[in-house]
Amino acid sequence: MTKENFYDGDRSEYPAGTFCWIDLATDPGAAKSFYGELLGWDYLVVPTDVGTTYNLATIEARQVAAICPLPEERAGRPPYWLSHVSVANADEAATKAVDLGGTLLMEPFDVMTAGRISVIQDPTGALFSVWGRRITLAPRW
Amino acid sequence: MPSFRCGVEGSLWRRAGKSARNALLERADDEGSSGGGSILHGNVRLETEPFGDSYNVFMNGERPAGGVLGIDEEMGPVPPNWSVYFYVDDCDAIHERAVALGGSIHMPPMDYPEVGRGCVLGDPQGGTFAVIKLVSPPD
Repeated sequence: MTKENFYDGDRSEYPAGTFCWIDLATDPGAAKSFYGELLGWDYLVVPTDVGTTYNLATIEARQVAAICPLPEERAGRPPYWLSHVSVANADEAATKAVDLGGTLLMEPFDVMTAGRISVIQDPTGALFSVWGRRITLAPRW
Repeated sequence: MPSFRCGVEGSLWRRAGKSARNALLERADDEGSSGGGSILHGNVRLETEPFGDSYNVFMNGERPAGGVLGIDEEMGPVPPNWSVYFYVDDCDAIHERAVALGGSIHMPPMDYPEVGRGCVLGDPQGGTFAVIKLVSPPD
């Protein structure tokens, strides 16, 4: 590995153990304006099955990230960018995370048809999500 | 580097605003002990080259998958977190624009030798993110 190849270019697949997506949990209305102005994002607004909206940020119609409301259990707490890691099986990854001293902040659940995720706090306190994909959301950058 | 530009004021490169890399900030005394490698994939390992001891890289097979650095006292009360970076073509311009849009500065623009120039920003609602202008962006 060199410094030069540390950074990803375009990619179309995310093998297990690869960061595959990021989303921001926040006040979507205000945040969409800020990031749109700052980074040139447009948005595709996708209704969810829990009555909220998932705002896919796009550049040249390519999905690069998303902005969504804070989950109910974290309402009133600071917004955060969540990094998702592709795994073969979210349930198995969540179980392994607990075995290794992690804490499940969200038990594995289905994200409509996109796959199954679990939000985990590692033993040092950092949050991430494992995402067992059923479809590729096309987060290609 | 592609010459095609997009978006706001022509100041963003083609990949500007796209996620560049995730980096794990951990307290120095916990550095590398998260077990993340074990959780993520059997092939993940930590390398210190080529960035030196201060920045370890998670390798997934032959491909870099993320980075780990310690949280120094001078960073202030930063909790362990996975940081997101967005590519930009002008770190200082983005820094200025973020401030003009009501954002805050967690770390002003600084040079990462041989890597690029980056800063850590806060959005007006309190979300934290980083931007980086790379010396050698990917194709």
